[in-house]
Amino acid sequence: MSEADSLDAHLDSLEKRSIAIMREAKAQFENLAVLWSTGKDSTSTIWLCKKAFFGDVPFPVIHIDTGCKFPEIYEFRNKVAREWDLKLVVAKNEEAIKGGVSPQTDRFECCTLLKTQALKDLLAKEKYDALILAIRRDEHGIRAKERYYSPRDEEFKWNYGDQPAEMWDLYVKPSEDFSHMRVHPILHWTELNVWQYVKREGLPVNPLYFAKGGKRYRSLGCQPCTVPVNSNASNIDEIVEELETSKTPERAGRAQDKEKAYMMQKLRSLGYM
Amino acid sequence: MEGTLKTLVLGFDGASPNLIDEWIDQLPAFGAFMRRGIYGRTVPPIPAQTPVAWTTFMTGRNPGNHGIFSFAMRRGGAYERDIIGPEMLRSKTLWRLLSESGKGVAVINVPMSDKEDVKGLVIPGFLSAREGIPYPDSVREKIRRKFKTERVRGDLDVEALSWASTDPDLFFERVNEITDEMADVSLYLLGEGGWDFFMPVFMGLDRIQHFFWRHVDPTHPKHEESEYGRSVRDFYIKVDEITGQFMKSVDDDTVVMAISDHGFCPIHKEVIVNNYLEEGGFVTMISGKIAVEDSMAISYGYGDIWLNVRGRELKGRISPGEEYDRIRDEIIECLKGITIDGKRPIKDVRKREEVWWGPYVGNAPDLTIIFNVGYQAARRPEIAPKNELGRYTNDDPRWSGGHDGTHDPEDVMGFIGALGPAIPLRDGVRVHLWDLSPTILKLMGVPFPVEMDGKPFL
Repeated sequence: MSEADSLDAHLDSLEKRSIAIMREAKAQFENLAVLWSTGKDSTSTIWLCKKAFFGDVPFPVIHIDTGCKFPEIYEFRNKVAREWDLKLVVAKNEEAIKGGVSPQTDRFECCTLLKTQALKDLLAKEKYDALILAIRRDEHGIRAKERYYSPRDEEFKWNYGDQPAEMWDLYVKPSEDFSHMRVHPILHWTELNVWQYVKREGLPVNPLYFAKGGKRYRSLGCQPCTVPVNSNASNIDEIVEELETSKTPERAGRAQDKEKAYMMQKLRSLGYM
Repeated sequence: MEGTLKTLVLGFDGASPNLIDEWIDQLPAFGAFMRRGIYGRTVPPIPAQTPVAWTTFMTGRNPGNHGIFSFAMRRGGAYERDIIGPEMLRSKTLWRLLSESGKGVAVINVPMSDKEDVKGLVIPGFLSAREGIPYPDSVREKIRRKFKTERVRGDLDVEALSWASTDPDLFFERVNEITDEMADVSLYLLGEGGWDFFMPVFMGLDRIQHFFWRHVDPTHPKHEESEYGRSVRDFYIKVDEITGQFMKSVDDDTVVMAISDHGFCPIHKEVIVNNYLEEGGFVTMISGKIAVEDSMAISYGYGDIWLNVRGRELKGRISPGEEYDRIRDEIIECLKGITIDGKRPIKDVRKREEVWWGPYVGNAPDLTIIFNVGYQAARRPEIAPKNELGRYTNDDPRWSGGHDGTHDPEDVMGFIGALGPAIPLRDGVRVHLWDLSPTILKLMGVPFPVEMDGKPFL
């Protein structure tokens, strides 16, 4: 088998598992939705939804708008939503934004109010019982214990020490009460796999990922809190080549990362902050 | 004999020597240190904060020489702070040095440790993004097969910490559970061999004593004899039992050491430092909020004070040189003059160059407040109206015990016990945390870098 065929087979295998997880979620939950940041992972996940459901995305696509995203993110979102005929729902905490919440005042509070609270409010209104998210295990250590199905309580908390069993290919809906289920269909993919898939499928890519002036964004967050990394990769092939040799973590440019957010929360719980 | 010795270091974050002394009759393993080896105090750095103290231990350097000054450090030139992590460490760790000399190492749950290319294993601890994940993969696989987990719990999570006030019984239950888990994993890995240096750190005492100190300290104004005081004592007994298990599990060629990074003192008032700085004209308020860029100085929550200097900060207001020195002296006078109920909460205010030395002093706060026992800085950079007693204090802080107010290291000393080959009988030992790495390196026959500030104490 040639290297190209081998890669194809591998991507097919990843895709097949993801599609199975999504179809399982659609069958088990009554009010499913998918989160879309417009980054490469969630755009690939939306594409996988279309493959899973015969060209359609038969549930709402949620974009959490903090009001301080890069302009390119809004342009990309609107264009792809139109072209792919997505049922776009924008979650935005207008009250907090009008109240002056911003990363300049308190970065952790900004994320909590403009992202987490915005989503909580939407869930409370629309009563989604499951959300598809495009997280991957290789993104950072805190996701090492994530499962394909991961229940969340009312406060969006996750008890990683007490998760539902995932045996072989059996994805079981837990019997205990929970607020909603998080479904992670690309958990087993790597960053490299995603880019290889984007290239193979010819998926649209936010131009922020491509280098300009020796820098590019490897991960897309809010504009005040995301800095570019050094890179000359100006197209997908160059990104793939760079990833195959890079030791820089994917989220190197993300100022408010999940680990730091969790650490801030923990330091506050401890009483150190 | 030196050079062939193995070393087992048991870290008990926050273990307080005064409580160990008080309960020594119920702590046979710690008593063994006293009868057969070294027994005494460790002197933490300023500030006596967990990440600063353990980094001082693992590098043998003072903070000016290893670059870690606080949980949250101001980004150079900016007004924002970043939570620190092991990626900010600027010096080689003890285990890297041992590993480079061919010694096998096993490092488990040490705060500020991280995945490292060493001969042996690392399970990163508190403040690492990889906390609890064993490296290399072969160790992770062993632990997964034996304990059915890919991540070792070395500390309480956010939810469990909230139980300290809402459900103390559950809080103690969880602390005991994770401590037992850590002990089981550590003893298992100890038994697997392949190490010359083995070090697990247990976090439980620190987490317990912050919230329950008043139950064991008769000097605390809110002291009460209660079941929680007994729970604290019982936890020290557990810690002693764990120490005993480790002692029985090693050979005669192993030095056994138990240390803590700091101890505890009572906390009954928090001083809202920025209020006093505002009264003194150093902090500027706009629309009821602190305007950091317009202020001459600000404090962030540990008694650290940062001046707003031209050429250093983005919108500096103070000229370096004479004005900088004058403003620092004025702030010192302002803060040392504070009285609360006729007492002075502030023991001293030190300039950075009086406390630290080395290439990273430029990243340190310009001034550090040293609080008297009983007081600490309010944890957030807030401004609040005077309380009902007419002062800028929080008289019901979340903690009843603390150690990083910032406090005088002499008031929050940690514990050291050691026995084994090459360990003399010596009571009343006082050793700086930065002396421990050079001592361990010497015991194991490995040269220590001249850049280390510490020196072997044996």
